[in-house]
Parts: sequence; C-alpha cells; structure tokens
Amino acid sequence: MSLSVEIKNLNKYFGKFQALKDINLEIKEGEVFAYIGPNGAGKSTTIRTLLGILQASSGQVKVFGKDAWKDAVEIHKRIAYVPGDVNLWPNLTGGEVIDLFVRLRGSHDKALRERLIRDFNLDPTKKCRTYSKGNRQKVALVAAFASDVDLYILDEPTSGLDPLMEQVFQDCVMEQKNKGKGVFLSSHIMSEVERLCDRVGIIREGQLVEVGTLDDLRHLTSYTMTVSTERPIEGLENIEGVYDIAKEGYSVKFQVNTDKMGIVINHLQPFGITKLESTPPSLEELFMRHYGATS
Amino acid sequence: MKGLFENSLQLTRFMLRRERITSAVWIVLLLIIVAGLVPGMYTALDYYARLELISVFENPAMVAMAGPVFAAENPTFGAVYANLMFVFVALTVGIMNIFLIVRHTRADEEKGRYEVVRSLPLGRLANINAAMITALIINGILAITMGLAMYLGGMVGDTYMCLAGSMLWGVGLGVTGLVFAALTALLCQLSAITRSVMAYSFVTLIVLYLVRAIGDMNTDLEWVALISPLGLILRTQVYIQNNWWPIWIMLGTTAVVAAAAFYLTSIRDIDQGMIPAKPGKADGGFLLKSAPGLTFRLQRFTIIMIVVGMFILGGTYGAVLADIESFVASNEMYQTLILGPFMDISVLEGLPVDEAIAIMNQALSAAGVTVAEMFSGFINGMMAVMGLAALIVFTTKAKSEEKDIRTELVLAASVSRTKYLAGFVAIAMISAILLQAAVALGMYAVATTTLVNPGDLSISFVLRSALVFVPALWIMVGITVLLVGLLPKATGFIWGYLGYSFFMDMFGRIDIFPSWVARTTPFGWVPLLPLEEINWITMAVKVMIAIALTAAGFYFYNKRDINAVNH
Ligand SMILES: Nc1ncnc2c1ncn2[C@@H]1O[C@H](COP(=O)(O)OP(=O)(O)OP(=O)(O)O)[C@@H](O)[C@H]1O
Ligand SMILES: [Mg+2]
Repeated sequence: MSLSVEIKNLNKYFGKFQALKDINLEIKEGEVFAYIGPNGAGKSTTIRTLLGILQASSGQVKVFGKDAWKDAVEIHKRIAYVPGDVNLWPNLTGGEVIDLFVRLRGSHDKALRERLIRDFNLDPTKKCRTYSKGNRQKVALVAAFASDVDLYILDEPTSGLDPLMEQVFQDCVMEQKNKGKGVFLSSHIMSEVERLCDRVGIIREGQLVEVGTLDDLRHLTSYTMTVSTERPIEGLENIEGVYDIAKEGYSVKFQVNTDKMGIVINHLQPFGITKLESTPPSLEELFMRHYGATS
Repeated sequence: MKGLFENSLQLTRFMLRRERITSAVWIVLLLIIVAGLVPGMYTALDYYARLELISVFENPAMVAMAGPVFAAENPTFGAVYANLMFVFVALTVGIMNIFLIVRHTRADEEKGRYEVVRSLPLGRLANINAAMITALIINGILAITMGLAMYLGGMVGDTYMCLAGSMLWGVGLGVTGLVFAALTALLCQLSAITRSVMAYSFVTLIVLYLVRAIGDMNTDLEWVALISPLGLILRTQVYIQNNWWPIWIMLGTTAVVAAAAFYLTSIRDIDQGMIPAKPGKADGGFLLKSAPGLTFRLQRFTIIMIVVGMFILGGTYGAVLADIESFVASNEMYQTLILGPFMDISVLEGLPVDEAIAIMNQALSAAGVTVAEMFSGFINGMMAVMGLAALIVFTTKAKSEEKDIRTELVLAASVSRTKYLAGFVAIAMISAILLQAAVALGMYAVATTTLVNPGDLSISFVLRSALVFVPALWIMVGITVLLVGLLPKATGFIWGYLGYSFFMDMFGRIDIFPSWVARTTPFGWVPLLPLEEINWITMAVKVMIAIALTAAGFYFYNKRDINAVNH
C-alpha cells in the first residue's frame, strides 16, 4: 500500500529555537493516525509543515509522494484541513465560507453540504463574527467533510464541540475511514483517539517519542493487576518489573510490565488464586506516563 | 453606579506597558520628522523662498489642501512652517489616536482578550476609561516633548519659534489627538467588527478634513471650518497670535464626546455594537469561487467608497479651478511662477482683474496651455500621494490576513501562494488607475460647470495629467509587495516613505531642494503636465521597475513561512 505521509529526518527551527527534532514518520493511505503530545510539543508545527505553510529547515516531507513545500497546491487538492482555532472573515456568512472552501478544493456536492449542515446543526446565514467558537469550528468541519478528498488533516478539530457534536464528528470520521480515506488527527481528547485511530504517534518537546498501534504502545507499558488468594502472597517484590504493590489482607494490587506477566502468574499460582483482574492502561494513563516524563 | 470605574488606573498602567513600544515609535518619528527637520528647513527656506511658498499656498486649491495662510503678513520661518504643516501633522496624530483607541477597546473585545479582563474585579467602564486616560497620557507626552523639541529646533537661527508658541503647537497636536481618541471611542461602540469601526473612524477623519476645506475656501463660511478640529487647530495661529481659545473648545468637545462613548459602553453588551449584525446569504456567490474573488469580495465596499471619495475630492478641486484664474491674475508671485515662462508679466500691472485674465489667457493659449490645466496637473500630484495610502492598505491586507491566521486556511484549500498574493496586488494595481481616473473625472465634471471658459480644460488632458502618475504608484505598490514578501514585519516602513513623498511633494514645488533630492521618490520622476512632456522611455522604465519589485516580492513570498508575522 502506498504512503500518504512520509517524513524523513525533519527538523524545524524558528530562529535558534528548534521546534521539531529529527522527526521520522510514515502513514499509509487510508490510515487514521493520531498525533498527540503536550502543549507546545510541535504538533501544529508538524501539521503546518505537512501543509507547506512552513518550510522544513532540513529533512524531507512528502504527502502522497509529493514534496509538501514545492507541490503544495497539487497536494492540497487531495486534502482538507481544519485548525483548532478557526479564524474566519467576520463579514462573510458561514454558508459563504463553506462554499468558498469546497469550491477551492474543486468539489461541489450540494446534497452532502446540506446534510452536513443539518447534522452539525449549523445556521449558515449567520455572519462569522457572530458564531461561537464551536460554531466556527463546525463551519470548518462542514467545509472539510463536504469536500471530496483523500486525507483529512485535523488539528484539534473538536476542542470547542459539545458532546453531541463530538459524536457527529466521530461518525463523520468513521464514515470517511470506511470509505478508505485517511485522517491525520491531532487531539487532546483521548477517548476520541482511542475510538477512531489505527495508530498513534506521541511527540514531546519536538521529538517523536513513540509510534504504534494502541496495542503496541500497551506492550511497552504495564498492566494493573488485582489478585485475591487463599494464602498471603510472598516474594512479589523480588520479581523484576513489578512495582507499586499495595496489600490489603489477602488481596494485592500492583503494576506489572507486560513482558513479565507470565512470570508473575507462575509465581502467584501456588498461593491459590481466587480472583484475578488485569486492566490495560487507558490511553490517558499511557500519556500521563509519557507526558509526565518531562519533569 | 458606584464602582463603574473600579481599578481603571491599574488597567491604565497595563495599557501603557503595552504601548511602550508602539506609541514611543510614533512619538519619536513625529518628533524627528516635524521638529528634527526644522534646522534643515530653516536653511532651505530663506525669506524669499518663504514668500514664494506663501503665494503657492495662498492659491484656493492649496488652501483647500493645507488650510488658510495666516503667515503672509509677517512670514517668519516659524510662522510659515507651522502654518503649512499643521493640518497634516494633526491628521497624522489623529491617525495615531484612532489606532491607539481601537487597539485597546474594540480590537481587544473582538479578539476575546477583553472578556478575560472583564472577569477581573473591574468596573464596567474601567476599560474605556483606562483607554482614554492612556490616550491622555500619551498625547500629553507628545504635547510636551513636541513643544520642547520645536523650541530647541528653532534655536538654530532667526526662526521666531518662541517657547510659548512651541508649547502651543505641541499642545495643539496633543489636543487634536484627544478629540480623535474620543471620537474613535464613540465610533467603537457602533459596530462589533474592528474593521468596520476602523473604517468609520477614517471616514470621519476624512469628512472632518473636507469640512475644514469647505470652510477654509469660502471666507463667508469660515464658521464651517471651526466645526472640524483640523480647522480649529489652524486658528491657534502658532508663532503669529498664539491663540489658546481653540484648545479650550477642543477640550470641551473631547469631554462631551467621551461622555457619550462612556454612556453607550455602559448600556451595551460585551461583543455587541449599536448596529446589530444582520443574517446574510446561506450560499457563496459567484465571487467566492477563487482566492482573488474572495479578496475582492472582502474589500469591494472599501474600494467603492474610496473611488467615490476620490471623485468627490477631485470635484472639490474642480470647483476652485474657476477662482484660480482670477487668483493668478491678481497675484504677482503666481504670475512669475506660472506666466513667467510665457509672457512679460509687467503688462498686467494695474489692470482690472477681468482684463488681466483675458491677456493672461491669450498669452497662455498662444503657448497651448491654460491656467486650469496647470492647476489640474498640480492637484493630481497631491491626489496621487493621497490615493497611495489606499493602495498600501489594499496590498498590506495580505499581511493582515496572515496575521489573523486566515491565509493558511485559503492556502490549505489548494491555492498557490502566487495566485493568493496576486489577488491583493491586482486590486492595488488596478485601483491605482481607478483612483487617478476618479479624481480626474470628478475634477472635470465640476470644472466644466464652473469654469468661465469650459474649453480650457479638456477631458483628455485631465485624464492624462492624472494617469501619468500611475507608474509611480505602481512602483510604490511594488515596494510594498516586496516588503510583504521579504520583510513582513517591516511593512510599516512604506508609510514612512509615503509621508516623506508627501513632504517632498509639498515643499518640492518651489525649487528649494537640489533636484536629486526630489528624485528620491518615484513621484519626483513624474512629468508635471502641461509644462513638461511625457517621456515614454522613463515611463517604460518606471513600469519595468514596478514589475521587477513586484516579481521579487512574489519570489520571496513563495519562499517564506506563513504565519511568521505572529512570532
Ligand atoms: N512561528 C514561530 N516562531 C517561533 N516559535 C514558534 C513558531 N511557531 C511555533 N513556535 C514554537 O514551537 C513550539 C511548538 O509549537 P506548536 O504550535 O507546534 O505546538 P503544539 O504541539 O501544536 O501545541 P498545542 O497542543 O498547544 O496546540 C512552541 O514552543 C511554539 O512556541
Ligand atoms: Mg497546536
């Protein structure tokens, strides 16, 4: 399968400040990819480089096999972009802006536009300056999903949406995913990422620290186990990869690294297991671990 | 009502902090340009040059432009310089105050910053109150430093720039600034859109300038000029009579207008204007199909307004063309200046005006020119520099869109940078022709009805003498494009260059500078019709320079990061 995004050794400097450090990333066509990381990590900078709005200081950035900087116009015919902070022209109405963007991208599916306006519950006759933040975002989302493109680049597109609209948004993404369209989604809403994305990349201080499927990422971390036994457990603290042990009578709660799971179960067997629960870390916890590593 | 102004002073300190660079730059530039030039201008403008300059400015068209000349009786350097510069410097101070107030009131509100401030324990009127106090302080600093700087600058020689007059000049400018600050604060209440508020303020500024022109041109309507702060300020007659009464009137006006602004602020909701936003069309019209279409759509009202404004301005000058004949016939200096090349002016001495006009026209028509033609050429030059301001706004709109983070939305929608920028540049380039044509047509339309001999001014001549400035305007637009592409943070430079061009245009009409100095602006290379002839080679060279500058601007725009202006 061909790649929709291909980033090799990307560095981006703003003056002396290095915003992106040696980023390498490949995304397949039709893949829904989540790009997450703390504030100021470099997500928007990466996205703007993908869009050819910023020029890479060094390295290669390709979208659909074309150079993101030189062939920006060609590439943009196949993508739709929604930023987190949507600034629109105060004197134009939402409907006018939607039509503008859809036409600039070269598509015009009137029925789809009407349906999306209805689904997102948007009044297209209002002037953009009178829209709330969420409504401005809806204008950009409708304009994106009403365009016939192959890759959606979304930079925190739902930061202002209510839960109902968040649902509409997720349905739209699923619909595109089922049609085989790709999505590059930067988001701080972990439930959204867990539900929608095939793969996740974590960026911190300009460095891509982790890339993989959710399962891949979980393998790198630990599960929470709660065990009840007939006899008190001993020697658990001597096993490598087990920590945060909290005993409460015959019940023990602890963290265990994924690769030590077998050893731990073997160790527990002789104590007579009556109850065993293991919970995978939520994405939230995964990120707390990665984000937290800063300090 | 208690607590409406709570914590205004805290907020004022914060605003002054935000102003420490912008306003400082404005004030320093004003000091350098206005007071710093005094020693140089003093040497350039000796007694005879001043007499010549006074005659030029006593002409009705110039009175409409710069106000009446009070310095004729006792033309000391200080009196002449202050007299001729006052309206323009006051206009600049007015513009500074429009930006100042909009920045701290409506712009903050539209951008959502004001909301955060309002959530603090502040009175409902604290923000506008603080903005007005900030304006008071900044205009106060301007008044004092300007007064002292003029006084010091005037110590080079026999300028007659006494301390009292210098301080009055400074205070006059500061108080004009305050009037415009108050007016802007009031207009900021009307619309919720910063751009509209800005437009209202500038239209008010221009209307007040025109009101002054009307009052100044007709001696029996002088009271009309007193409606406008720009007319009032001239009546201080700095370095001549040093009148203080206009200052008191303007301070009173400021208080009344500011009170109205405060009242409207107290009764309206945050993020709202007095003029409510109406719903619009649900679909994009035919313009919203391309990036240049969008650019035009966003600016079309401004373009129309400015074209109409230039037509009216042209008409205003067309109206005075008729008076000019009799003026020239009775003004010796003008006779030398204008008729000198064509006839022996001593024959006019002592003749009644009618006869003088007849003889004069005869001599001129033998040379194939008319008085009206000579003046339309004159005026078109000034109008070109004024119209340039609009062209710069149209071009730098590309930068302000970028600053508001809208450019990337359009570029991400499959629009090339070249095409995107081309929309802004094309509008500016075409407007250069439109504005010049509008001035010419306005002038022609009115002049044909007022001139004793309408045939003195042919439409083809008026158009030619106006359009001959277009290549120079294109060069200025080209420089602006280059700045937007290469040094987007430094586009403000072009405004300085515009001011300089205007200054050169004003004082360059009598030959006080070496000719190369006049040629440091593109306008110095424009032939003054009908005295000079159009040289098609220099015209072509100018067009080529404009093209080269513009192309360079596009080249760099294609190479740089978008949004870099925000950091
Ligand atoms: N034009 C610029 N000039 C200088 N620094 C910049 C510029 N653009 C971004 N930065 C810096 O680069 C870093 C990365 O910014 P970026 O906007 O990519 O963060 P982000 O991951 O999108 O954060 P958030 O989650 O808050 O949106 C930040 O430290 C930011 O201040
Ligand atoms: Mg971001």
